[in-house]
Amino acid sequence: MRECEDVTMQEALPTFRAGGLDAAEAEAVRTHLATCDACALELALLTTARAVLDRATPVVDVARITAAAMGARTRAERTSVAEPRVIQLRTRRWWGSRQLLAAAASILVVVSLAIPALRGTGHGPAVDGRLDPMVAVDATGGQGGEAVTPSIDLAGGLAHLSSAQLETFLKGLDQVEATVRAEPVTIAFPLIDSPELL
Amino acid sequence: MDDSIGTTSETTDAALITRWLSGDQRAATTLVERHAQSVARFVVSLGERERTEELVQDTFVRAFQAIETFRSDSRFRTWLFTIAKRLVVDHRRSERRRREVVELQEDHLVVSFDALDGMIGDERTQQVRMAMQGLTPMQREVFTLRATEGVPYDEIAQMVGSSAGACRVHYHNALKTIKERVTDA
Repeated sequence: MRECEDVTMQEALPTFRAGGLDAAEAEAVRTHLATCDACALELALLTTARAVLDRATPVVDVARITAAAMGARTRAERTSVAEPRVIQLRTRRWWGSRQLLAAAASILVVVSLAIPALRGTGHGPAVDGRLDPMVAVDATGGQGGEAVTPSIDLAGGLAHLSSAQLETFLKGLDQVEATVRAEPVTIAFPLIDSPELL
Repeated sequence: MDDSIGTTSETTDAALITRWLSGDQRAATTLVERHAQSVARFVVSLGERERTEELVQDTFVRAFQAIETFRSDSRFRTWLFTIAKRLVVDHRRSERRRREVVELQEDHLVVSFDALDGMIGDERTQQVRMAMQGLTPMQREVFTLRATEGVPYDEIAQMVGSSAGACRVHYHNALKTIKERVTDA
């Protein structure tokens, strides 16, 4: 079979066969086919190739496919609409847990401060308003000589205290704070070792 | 079944998609009616005759779920073919893992294509089928897309991961091979 020398027409045959040319282009191909045996035979070959596949291909159920595809899309759309609500719920949960966390932290702080005060041997200001001797610092600064642990009368408030007493009081408070921080370790062993609990 | 490729139809695929997204459900049905059989043919050409309808359905399910990502610079039908091919490849991968069979190679496709035996009675059609069977997988895919579906070379190139020029060469080599075998018979 002699090949057609009109490459444009040859190249247009598959698109022509598939119905993809506009009216003018299709008419030009028809005119060419009327006079070109090579292109006519090639078009017949393409049509046969298509027939091979057509015969082998089962007819699909368009209605079923459409229903399945539309149903899947509808489900996907519902999911995407519901998604912001899920995010909102997660935000609320996070916000709720933060509030819970803050409340728990507050309780922990209050309990930590209260334990030394409630314990008889606790390290903190005495209930009677006098500074605990265990907390009071050495008035001599702890450098030689006899250690003195003066009590400070707080019944009249802080206004009447001298500078030295005030300084001693503040140091005592610092020690109370340090004791509170270390409290979990400090109280753990006495409780476990307590004969009442064993 | 409408065999037009969607560019010169009275209502283009892009217009149908727009109408559908605006709420016209019939436009979606028209899209399926227009392209389902072509996708089925393409799936069969890849050797998946037994699972044709299932794969075509999965193709449209995927396409409809991701319709917003479709770009009108390629034809809707080519996009569907791309999805269908990916599904076929995925299916064969999972089948290979499950049954530990050989990967989709030329032999596998030839065996699948042999399933067409007995369905085609016409002698010339049998010759063409045999000739198509003798093509390499790349030639067969390019030839099927170009000759039976009219897909342009640049879109075939995107599908098979090659250049338009290379696809043109594959097509003409395939056509030449088929012509020789049919003429010699």
